[in-house]
Parts: sequence; structure tokens; C-alpha cells
Amino acid sequence: MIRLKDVKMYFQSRKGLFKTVEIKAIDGISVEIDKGKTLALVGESGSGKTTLGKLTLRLLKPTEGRVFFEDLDITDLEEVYLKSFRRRAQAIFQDPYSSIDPFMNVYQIIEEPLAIHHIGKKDERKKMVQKALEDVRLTPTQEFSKKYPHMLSGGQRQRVGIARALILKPEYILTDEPVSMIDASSRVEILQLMKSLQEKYGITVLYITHDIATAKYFSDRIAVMYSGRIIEIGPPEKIISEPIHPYTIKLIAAVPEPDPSNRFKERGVVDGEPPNPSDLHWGCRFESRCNLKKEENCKSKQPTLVEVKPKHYVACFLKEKDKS
Amino acid sequence: MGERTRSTFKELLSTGSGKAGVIFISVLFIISLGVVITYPPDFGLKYWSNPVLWADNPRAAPPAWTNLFTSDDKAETIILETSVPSERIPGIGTGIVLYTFDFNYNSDEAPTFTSMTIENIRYNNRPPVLTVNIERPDGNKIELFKLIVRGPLPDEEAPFTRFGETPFRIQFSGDTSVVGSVSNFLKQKFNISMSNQDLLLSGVDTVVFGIPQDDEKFEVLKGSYKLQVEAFLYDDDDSIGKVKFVLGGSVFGFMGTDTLGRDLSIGLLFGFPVALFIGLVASSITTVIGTSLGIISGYMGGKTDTLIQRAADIFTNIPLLPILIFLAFIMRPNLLIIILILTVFGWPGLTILIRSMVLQIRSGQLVESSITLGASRLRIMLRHIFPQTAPFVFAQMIFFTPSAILAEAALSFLGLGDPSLPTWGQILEYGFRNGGIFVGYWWWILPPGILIVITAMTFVLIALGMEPIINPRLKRGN
Amino acid sequence: MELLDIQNLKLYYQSSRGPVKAVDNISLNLKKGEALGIVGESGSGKTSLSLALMRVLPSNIDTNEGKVMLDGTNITQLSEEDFRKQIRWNTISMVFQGAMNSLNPVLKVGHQIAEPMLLKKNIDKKEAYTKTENLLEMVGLSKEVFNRYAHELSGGMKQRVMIASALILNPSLVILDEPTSALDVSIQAQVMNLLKRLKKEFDISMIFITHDIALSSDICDKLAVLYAGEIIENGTAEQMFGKPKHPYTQLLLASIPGLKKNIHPKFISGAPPDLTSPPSGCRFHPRCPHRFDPCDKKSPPAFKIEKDHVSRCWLNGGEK
Repeated sequence: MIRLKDVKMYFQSRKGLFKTVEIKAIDGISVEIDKGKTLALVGESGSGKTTLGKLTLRLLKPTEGRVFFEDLDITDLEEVYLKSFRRRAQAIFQDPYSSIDPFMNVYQIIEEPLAIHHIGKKDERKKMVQKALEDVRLTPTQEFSKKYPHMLSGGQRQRVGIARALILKPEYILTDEPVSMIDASSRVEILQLMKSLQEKYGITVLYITHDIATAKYFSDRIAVMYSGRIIEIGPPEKIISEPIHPYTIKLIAAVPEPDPSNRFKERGVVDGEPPNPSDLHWGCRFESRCNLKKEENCKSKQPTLVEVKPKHYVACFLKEKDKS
Repeated sequence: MGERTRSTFKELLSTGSGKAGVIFISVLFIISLGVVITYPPDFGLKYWSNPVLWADNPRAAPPAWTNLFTSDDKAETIILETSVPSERIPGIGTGIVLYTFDFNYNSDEAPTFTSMTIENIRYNNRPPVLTVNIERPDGNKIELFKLIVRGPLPDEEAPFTRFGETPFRIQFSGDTSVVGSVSNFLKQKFNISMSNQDLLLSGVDTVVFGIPQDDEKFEVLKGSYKLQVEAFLYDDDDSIGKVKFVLGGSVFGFMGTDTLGRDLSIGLLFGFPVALFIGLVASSITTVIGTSLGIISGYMGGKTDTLIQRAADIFTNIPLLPILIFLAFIMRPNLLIIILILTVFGWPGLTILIRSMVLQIRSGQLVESSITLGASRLRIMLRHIFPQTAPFVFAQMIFFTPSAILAEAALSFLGLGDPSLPTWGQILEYGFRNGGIFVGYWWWILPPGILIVITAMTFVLIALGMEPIINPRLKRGN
Repeated sequence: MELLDIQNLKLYYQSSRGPVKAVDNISLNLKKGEALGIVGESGSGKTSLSLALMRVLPSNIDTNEGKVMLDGTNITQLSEEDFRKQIRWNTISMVFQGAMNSLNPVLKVGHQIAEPMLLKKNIDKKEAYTKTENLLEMVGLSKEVFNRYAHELSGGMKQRVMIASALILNPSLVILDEPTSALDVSIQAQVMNLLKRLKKEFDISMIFITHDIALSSDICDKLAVLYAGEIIENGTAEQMFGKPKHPYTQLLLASIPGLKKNIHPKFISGAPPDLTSPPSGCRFHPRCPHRFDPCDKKSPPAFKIEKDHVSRCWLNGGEK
């Protein structure tokens, strides 16, 4: 459904009065999302995952490479032609406090996509909005329709965002950290709601998150990003129980599980910080923090994704030799 | 849409300040409407700048109602006029037409001036002769003045008209022949000699209407007076149009007069619609321009942004005063030019502020989510960005209105305003220029200032009342 | 002896709809070198609790009662001046939520850390700056970070700076309010390792406030679960994670998506209550799957499950 081919995204940023630096947010990614499936994109801050999400919706134009939506090449389309594409591809954003207009009430917010794309007449729209509110369980719908965002909790606002994204019956939805700004106890509920709606309507989803634990339960495939590249991709259970890339191994080890014996031992963590995207070296991006014994390619060439186990790909010169 | 306006209005009236604001502004509008309907369109030139019309008003006189608060009875202006003669006395060959005015004079002070106006004399052969005399309560009669109407000119034809377009007006207090008559009267009846200069200084009216005291002062003679014009008309159809006497008081009208004698209440009333016009028009235009440019500049970024911002910088840095003085020098400023100037120099401030608000809005996810939905740029700017700036914009507009009014007042104050129109600023300026503060012309200085304050306050009250409507966050929840 | 003994602490705020019962009759204790975790959702009152302990209170307070004993001294009775001089920052210090954003952008980071030392103790600058540099190394940063500015540091580095800042006067107790919530998972793990190390080497007592119950197991010896201003269960880490007795604690644990184990997470329906009008009886009863008759009528007292383990639930004692 969604396909990215050798996509690169470089930003120019001014440093000082005359110098500009190039920020390599995405440095060569090819990935596909199958129709009706959820791909989880897991990464830490600076990995480029949000940028990748924006590329799939053409909120950014890639510096290099091509972006396909089904058979449509949306890489270079003008905004005018993108409008029909936008009807089929929607998004749910991270910040429920700023992604919905505080000056519109719930009805107007959810109705807006219908107005933009000239769908339906007044009473038809009313029915559609009502159905959307029921879908996200904001009932009684009459009461919620009249409320303004500041009268709702974070979780409720996010449901409004979900309803708004769904009302056009899109084929693809980008969800960028949809629950990271919501209370821990409400997160699972929202994620389960999203999953049930996805199954009900057969929507293709890109789920961007830094929380790999939720990715396990709410995706069909997990891709791990590091410093602008996908370094591992495969089925959720395999990625989590048998991670291959050294970064993925450390990432999973860093996630706290509720175990009282945790406090007696230190976790094995990666030292240092992710590299600065404006100052990248040749070779594998993870090399400076990698604790494995290096081979000659590690410092000079970038590893590409290689299928090491069935449907399980890794980008690492050392690990690609462990093909099974 | 109707439902929206009705609920908006209800919300506005629900707060105390909203109610007060609505009441005040309704009053302002009603007064302004009344003025616009009743005043002639060329009021400024024809009336306010026309000295003839207020020749008969006392100069720099406080309002008439102040008389209620002072211990002594101030002289009030008495106007006596008629078009119809009181009596016709047929005589040999000629007729005498009498215009008689009986009146009571009870003030504690003499009139500040006495004037006579004669309008429209027609004669066929010989020009009429008019004698003016006054009979005092003590029985004395003074012949004040004799008017010999000018004879026919060589190229004139009967009937001859005099004082048709320009009425004949004489102020007794300043006329030498009147002074001479009064001086004679003093010597004959009271055996007092006063030189003409002394008479002029103490005022002819104090003598005419007074009784001399020992200390060379005069006390007002109260009682019934008779002013009479005896007109010798030589033909039956000779006629006099209108005879008018004005005994100037020391108080006048509802709001008093300025040093030219202009009725301040007329001028101040005129100020209502002018103030509202200047304020609302200037602030509306400035706000519309400033906001639109600010939103476009902030949202589009890039070259458009740079262009608009540099334009704003240029306009902010142009020194306003020298330009205004220059403009005042090369052309006579009128109201529209003043509004134009206020607008041209007012928009940059708003643009810069709105732009930074827009940049902040853009940094949140609202713009991103709207683009994702497929919204056009125009829709995003109008439907999503503008409403978030609206509370600020609206407040600015409301606060700019009194600013505009004050700016005009300030310009008038500096002599750069439109002198033909009596705006509150102009009235204030004239008052200050004539030393109003030092001499104590409170009725001249205070009202325009108070009116400006009240008008400004009205807009502030409305802004406060409108707050919860514009900013839904201030609405009460469940 | 207990280092910290909180007895019946109450903190209510004023609001137009009545008093907000943010901290409602809380009793806790902590020994030297122990870490106590306080777990609660947003709106449970956990930040208010920390502010009450530090006596950093806003002006709209309705009620502030209770007794706090620190090392045998009743610190609630100290005057503001005494509290400021003796307790605040020297004995009890705090790492606030979102503290990384409270660094002054125009001052060097080292100067900001050293500031309390220069103000409170009479040491000369050089000594203070040396101590600061040592402290920076202790928290895993290089000495030269002293001369950096806040915008030059990453999130993880800034948080380490805040921890150093809290330790500058060698306090006996450090309160940490969501110290890692803005950090990536691997940086969070680094910071938790650091805290574990500091606790072990310097025997520092900690109060660790978080909404993430799994994270609290990383460092806490004792755990207290806060709901709507009340402690509804507390006990040792083994007791709380091994055999939690209160339905809310059980649900919190069940809502964690199990990474290593295959536990599909469950969710807790509903939302935390309004603190101006909490539900009658047990405050959790509207969302509780096990509620029965007394739950909406009477508020359950703290039932003792075993030594150090109490739970406020009618299921654990009283009428059945």
C-alpha cells in the first residue's frame, strides 16, 4: 500500500551568520507497508521516525528517492493534485492539545474533513459525525458534539482526533506517538480502540512510537530505526524475544518490567548518545557505541538490510553472517 | 447565522461590563445619529467657521445652569426680536412705526453687551430714519442711537432694499455715538462727568442699566425696561423686515461659549459622530490591514514574509511628526487625510505582533493536521489561524479606537488637524490656546476631555464584555 | 529509626468549586538509604505531596495539616526562615518534573549547580567550583560540562545536571518527581543506573514519584500507590509486585504491556475523579471491577495485610 524507495531527507539549517549545515534526518530508507496491516516504527528521539511518517503523507518532499501510495507516485505532486490523495490518507497526531482547533467545538472539528472535501449535505454529515463519535465511544454523542476541546481530558481529545481521521474512511492512517501525551492508564484503552477500528475498517497503519512494548501488541511488523536508517525489521514476537542487531538488544534490555529484583542490578545499557545528524561519519551509524568486535566494513561502509531469518531483516555486517 | 448573532448578543449582555458598554455605545450612537440627521452637511464651513452667526453670543461665557449655583444672579442673555411693528402712528405726510419691547431686568449685574440687528429695509422714495431709545424703571429715557439709512445710489431703482443680505448690526457698547449719548445722559441726570474712555472701560451697559453709587461704581437698576425703535417711514409700503435686540448675558446656553462666542454645546455634539467615525474607521482599516498582512507574513514565510516585514520596518521608522508637519504645510489637512495617516502608520505594529502569534501557532500541530486533512492555505489561515488571533485582534481594534480619537485630538492640538471641524480635539486645542487653563474656562476645557474619556471607556467595557465570546476557553464548562 | 515519618498530611487547595483535596490524610515512612516509590496517575496528588514536603506551596491553600518528622525533628513546626536555612536543599532536595527546562539559559551550567553552595555555606568560589566538577563526574558527565550552557546539552545530560544540582549540599533525602519522563528509554536506563549507583555508594534516601509502576521497580525498596489524594496501598517492593491486594494496584500492573511475557494489557476504564468532589466511600469504587456493597458508602480504613503491607480496600478486611 505504501512504499518508500531509497528515500533520503536532508534539511538545511543555518548555523551562525554564513554557515549552513546539512541535517541528514533520513539517510536511505526503502520500506513497504502491506495493505490492511500495521507497521510499527520504533526509535528514539533523533532517529528520524517522525520525519519518515511525514514523508508517507507528503507533508515533506524527500530530497531523494520516491514515495508511492498504492500505484500513485506522490513524490513530486503539486498540492492541488494531492487533495484527492489526502482524502485517502489521514493522520492522528501526538499532541491532543494542539492538533485540534481550540476554537471549534467537537462537531465542527470532526465535520471539517467532510466540509473540505465537499462530502454530503447537512443531515448526512450530521449522521456521519454521530457515527464517528460512537465509533470512538464518546457518548452521549449529542453532549460531546457541543463541547470545546478545553472541556475534555487528553484521552477524550485524542478520541476526537481519531474520529476526525476516520470520518473520511481513509485507506491509510499515520499515527505518530498517539498516546505518549496521555496518562499511562488511559493509553492501553486508546490503543485498543485504534486497533479494533483498524480491524473493522481494514485500514493500513503506520504506528510510530518510542515504546516498543506497545508495538508488540498493536502491530504486525516492527521496524527499528536508528539515526535515519532502519536497522532491523521483522515480526513483533521475533524482534522482541530474539533481537539480532546490537542496538535492538540494548533497547529491549532498557525497557523496565515490573520486577522488584531490578533494583539490585544495573541494566546493560548503551553508553553515550545517538550521533548528531548534522555531523555523521562514514560507515555504520551505530559503530561508535557498538560493543561487538568490529570488522573492517563497520567503519567504512553502511550496512544494508539482509534477511537473516524468515521475514526478519538486519542491517549489520557482523550479524548478516549469521544467516540461518 | 441568526442564531449565532442572537446568542452572541445574549452572552454580551450577561456580564456587567458588557451591559454597561452596550448602554453607553447605544447612547453614543443615538446622539451621533441625531447629530447627523439634524446638522447640515457643510456645518464646518458654514456654521462653525462663520463669525456672523455667533456675533450675538457672549464671549467665553459659562453655561446658563451655573447661574443656579452662584449666589448672585448672573445676567442671562435676553433676546428680543420681532418682524411686526407694535404700533403704527399715522402722521402728517409721514408715518411713525414703533417697535416696542417691554422686558424685566432682574440680574445682579448689567448685560455684558447690548446689540441691535436690523434686517431687510425697503423704501421707495426717501430712506427711513430710525431712532433707538430706552426707558428705564426710574423713568429716565435715553436716546441711544440714530440710524439714517443710506439714500439711493445713482444706478439704483425703486424699491430700494438695504440690509437684505447682510443685516445691520451695531453693538452699543462699542459705538462712539452711543457712548456720547450716554455720557450726556450721565451729566444731565446725575451730574457725573466721565470721559469717553472711562465709559468704554466700565462698559456702557453698566450705565444704561445702572444707578451710580458714591464710589463711582454703578449698581444694577432692576425693574421693567422699555426698548423702542421709532422708525420714520415716508411711504406706505416702506417696511422693516426684522428688529432684534440682544442683551448679552454672562452665562449662555447648555455648555457655554468660547472666546469667539461659539455655542460649545453645538460644537461638542458635532464631535460625537466625528469621534466615532474617526475611531471606528481608522481602527477597522488598520486592524484589517495589519491582521491580514501579519497572518500572510507569518504563514507563508519566505520572500513574502521578508517583504512584508521590511515594509513594516520602514513604516515604523519613518518619523511621524515631521511628515505631518510637512503635509500640513503643503495641503490643508482634512479628516480623511488624517484617517489615512493614522492607518498608514498604525498597521505595522499589529502586523509584527500577529506574525509572531502565527509563528507560534505554526509550531504546534494544528497547521500540520489541517494540511493532512486536505485544507487549502486560505482555509487554514482564515478558519484556524485567524480565530486564534481573533481575541487579540478584536481587543486591539477596540483599544485602537480611542487611540485613534486621541491621536486626532493630539494632531489637532498641535495645529495639524482640520480646523474647520469642531472635533473634541479641536475644541480642546482652541481652549488651551486661549489660555483656558490659566483663566479658568472649565466649561470649555473639561467637557471635551471628559467626552473623550467616556468614549474610550465605552470601548473598553465592550471589549471586556466580548471576551468570553471570542475566546471559547473563557466559556463556562458544563 | 525512621529518617522520614509523615503522619496524616493534608493539603487542600482553594478553588471556585470548593477545596481541592489533593493530599488527603497521608501517612508514610522511610528509612535511611531506602527508596520509596509513589505511583499515581496525573491528578492523583503526587506532585502536591512533594511540594508539601518541601513546603513550596502556592498561595491558594485551603488546608495544610499534619506532622512530618525528619530524623526525629518535627519539621512542620519550623518557621519558614528556619526551614529554609536548615532543611530546604541541605537536608531535603528535589528534582522537579520537567526540571531540565528550568535551567537558566544564560548562565553556565556549573554556576547554577554551585549556586546553593555559595549562598548557604561560607566557602570560597574555587572550592565550590571544584566540588561541583567532582559532582559532575560522579553523575557521569565530564568536568568540562561545567562551562556549558543549557542549550548545548542533550536531554539526558540536562537531567544528570539536575541530579547533580540536587546533591550539591549532601542532602539526606532527595525527592524525584518524574525524573525520566521526558527521556528516551535507553537514556532513562542510563539515568536509573546512575541513581542506583548513587543510592548504593552514598546511602541517599529517595522518594521516587512516577506514573510508571514498572519503572519504580528499578529502584524502589518500598512502594505506595496514590489514588485521588489517598494512599490506597503500600508495602515493600516484593509485596507490592508479588502479591498486590488492592484492585487498583492489580489493574495498574495488568495494564503494562508485557515485553518479555505474553500478557495482553488490560485497561482501566473511566477517568480519575475530580478532587473537589471525590466519590463517596472508597474513591476508586466507580472504576473497580470488584466493587460490592460497602464500597460506595464507607471509606475503607488501612487494613494490615502483613508487616509493612497495608491496603485500603473492603476486600482486605472489615465487612465482607
